[in-house]
Amino acid sequence: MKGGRALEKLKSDILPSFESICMVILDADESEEQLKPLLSLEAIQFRTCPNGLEVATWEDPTQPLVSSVMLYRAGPRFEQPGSTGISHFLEHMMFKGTSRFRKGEIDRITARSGGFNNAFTTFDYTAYYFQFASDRWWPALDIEADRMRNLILDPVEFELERLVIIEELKMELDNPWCGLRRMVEEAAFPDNPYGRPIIGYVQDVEGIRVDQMMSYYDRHYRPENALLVIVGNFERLQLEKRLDDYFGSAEPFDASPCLYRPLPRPAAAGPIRVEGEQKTQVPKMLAAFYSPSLRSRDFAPFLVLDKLLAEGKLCRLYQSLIENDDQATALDAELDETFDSYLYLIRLELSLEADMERVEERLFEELADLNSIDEAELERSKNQLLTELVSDLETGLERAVRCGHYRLFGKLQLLFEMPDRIRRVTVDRIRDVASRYLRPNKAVVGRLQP
Amino acid sequence: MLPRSIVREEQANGMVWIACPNRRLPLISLNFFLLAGKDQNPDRLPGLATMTSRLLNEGSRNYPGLRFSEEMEKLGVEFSSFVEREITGISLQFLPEHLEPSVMLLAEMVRRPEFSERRFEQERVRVQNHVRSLEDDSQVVCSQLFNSAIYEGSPPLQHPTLGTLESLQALSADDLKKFHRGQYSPERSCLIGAGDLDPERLFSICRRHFADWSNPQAERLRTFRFQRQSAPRFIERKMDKEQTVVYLGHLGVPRTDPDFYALQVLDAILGGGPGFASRIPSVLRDELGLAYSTFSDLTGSSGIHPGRFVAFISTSPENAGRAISALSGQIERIRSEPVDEEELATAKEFLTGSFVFEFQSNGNLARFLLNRELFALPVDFPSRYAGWIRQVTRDRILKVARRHLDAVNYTMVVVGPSGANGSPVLSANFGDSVP
Repeated sequence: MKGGRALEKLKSDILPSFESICMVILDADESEEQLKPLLSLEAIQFRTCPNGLEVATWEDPTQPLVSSVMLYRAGPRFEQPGSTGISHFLEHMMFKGTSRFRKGEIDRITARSGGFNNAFTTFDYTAYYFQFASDRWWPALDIEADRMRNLILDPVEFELERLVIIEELKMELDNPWCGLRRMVEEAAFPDNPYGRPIIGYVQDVEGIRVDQMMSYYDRHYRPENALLVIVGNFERLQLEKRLDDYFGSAEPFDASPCLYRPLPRPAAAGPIRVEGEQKTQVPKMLAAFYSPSLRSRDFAPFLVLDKLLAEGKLCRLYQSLIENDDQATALDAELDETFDSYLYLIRLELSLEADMERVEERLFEELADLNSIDEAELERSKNQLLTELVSDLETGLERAVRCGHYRLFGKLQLLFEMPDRIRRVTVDRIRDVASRYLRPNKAVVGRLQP
Repeated sequence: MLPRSIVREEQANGMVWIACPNRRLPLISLNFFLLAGKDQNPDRLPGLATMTSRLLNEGSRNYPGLRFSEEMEKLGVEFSSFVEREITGISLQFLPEHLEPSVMLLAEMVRRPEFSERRFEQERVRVQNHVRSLEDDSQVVCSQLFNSAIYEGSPPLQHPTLGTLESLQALSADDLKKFHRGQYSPERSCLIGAGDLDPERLFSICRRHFADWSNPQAERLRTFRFQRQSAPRFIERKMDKEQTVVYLGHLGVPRTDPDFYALQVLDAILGGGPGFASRIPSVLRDELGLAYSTFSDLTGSSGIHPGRFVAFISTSPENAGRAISALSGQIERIRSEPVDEEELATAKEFLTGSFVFEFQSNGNLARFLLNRELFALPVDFPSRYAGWIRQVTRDRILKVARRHLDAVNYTMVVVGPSGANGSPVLSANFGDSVP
């Protein structure tokens, strides 16, 4: 019944003042000068709690909202072969009960406070977030502080959640692109956690034990292994006091934090080709090239290169494979901001008559033919990117997640320097990264035929 | 009262312009909404509205062919167009310094699209291939079968928004021109700018590009008569997949239904609340472990026309029978007994407390302002909404559940592999009761 009392206490703390919030939003007079510096490193403050937890606070007085994200250095890069999926499984279990918040209560409190919560697991970290109106967001701190150390892994709940995850895994496998991507990742990273599915292999998920997960939780879910980011319209003095209340008393652990140790660099002598087995109505090709990590100096030019190759109707690959050829009908590319070198993924949906060999050949030719980039093309790609950089930070939650992501990787400054870095990218620099990263011998090509 | 910062102007040609300054970030979202979605397709030409919208950025009178994309992409504009049941939308997102050319390009798209034969043919091939690829997605297949059943009698709403392979093949560039001539007109259009902008400046630019727009050839909007089914209907489609997808429900309600706000509360209790707090995810996922994804929704799809009441689950085929029973059991339960005070209070607090998120991005703001236009919401809607939600009682929930949910005369669509014993899921689990 402790959980019940916790809920009552929270309810009394969060009496809604709905009308006042709406009027703040809709009647606010904007003060442009005050607001533009919102996107600057100086707008973020840091403190380290006595227990070792680092907290980043990013004040945004323009909306009556607060988003919080708790990030842990826990994810597939810390998993061992044979226990893949344990980070993701644990992410699910973090909603299943602690000594104070019994099963379902985190969701009930979130709903009762008019908020949203969720979580996600990446290769490099696991993150939990809340979004609330700014007069009722304290439950986020209470819950995060509690479940950081007081998780209960009830064996019955554990088994139920295992079923849920296996359903999630099946859902993924029903998507032909997911299955193909998994095969490409495995071929690209045979000895590297980036080659294993974040959700885990089904046989591993079926074998994970409660004691094994508790030990993983104890190792990774500790204040000095976490970063809390709070973005929004909070009252700073009150926040400092709450942080002291929730995170001030816990004893730091003796163990060393989980550091990001660079993963071994893959050495593919490609092109490696994998044939997917999933059923598909139309042929699909997934071409992957080792990409620069977010920490690399090559990352900013590669972002521009990505736009030049795969954004809009005038980009190189659209023109070559779709506009001027009838082989492909849809194009999409993905460049992830990973801690280590991962993959630049180019997805092509092909026409029924397409010749896979020819498409691959045309793709490699196009990627090798970047000598003729002109300034207008470069400018266009940069402008597309500059718009995207701002729109990616539009909501408080987006800012909190990106702030946490970059900070965890030790590159927060980069988040704000990126526009200038983009502007400084030259044609020569694009050619340079293209020639080093987009070579056929560094490619893994997944193919799926109807 | 109208919020001070939002400016609305109705033009002599009938077009509505709304400017919503929001200077938090140097970004503008410019949205054009047209009252003509897939509902305005001729019966025999599903996909026409969508193809028309997809050709809008494929060349205009002043910027033919790819020159249009050149103009847009050099500004770094993020472009998207979409067709929904009742609305066609165009959205441009850009940095504030590109406001003037962006409005001009929007006007080019809306007023002077080229619809060239060549670009139409190319786009048709792409869309047809995309339609083929969607056949791999059991949720899309299930949703489409569900629509075709519940919107019986209203052919444009039964068909896929993208069209079918056959209907796309039957289309011509002339059809697109005719659709544009008949549907794209100022009195059905609303332009909403939200973001780092000055309303006066936005309107002054709009005047140059839209004030002289007229369309004497505009057609009357198609209207429909809807009727909820009066008998159960079961549809099964076999697909070689890991999971079985189930849609269970029937025709929903329009946004203007007097029970709308009570139904929003019902939604939050039954299967549409956040996380897994509402009944369907709480029971089917958290207690029974049947699915990763399961929910229900009635009001989320309400619009000018009735939306859909859907209870959804994606589960292993051997669990499909249990899942269906549990879904229908939850529908029956909310129709037969009053909800708990506690869950009613939670639902109300969620709805009133989360309303603030309607305004968190420029896109959200634009959508809210569009809804205010479409459904004649009062200008003080934000301050009245909480009152409407708070006055919903347990009795009211029971009444609206009985009025708007049917636990017998529903459509159930099941898409996936055969059941555990190799027989189809429906007959394996329901035997002779399956019509």
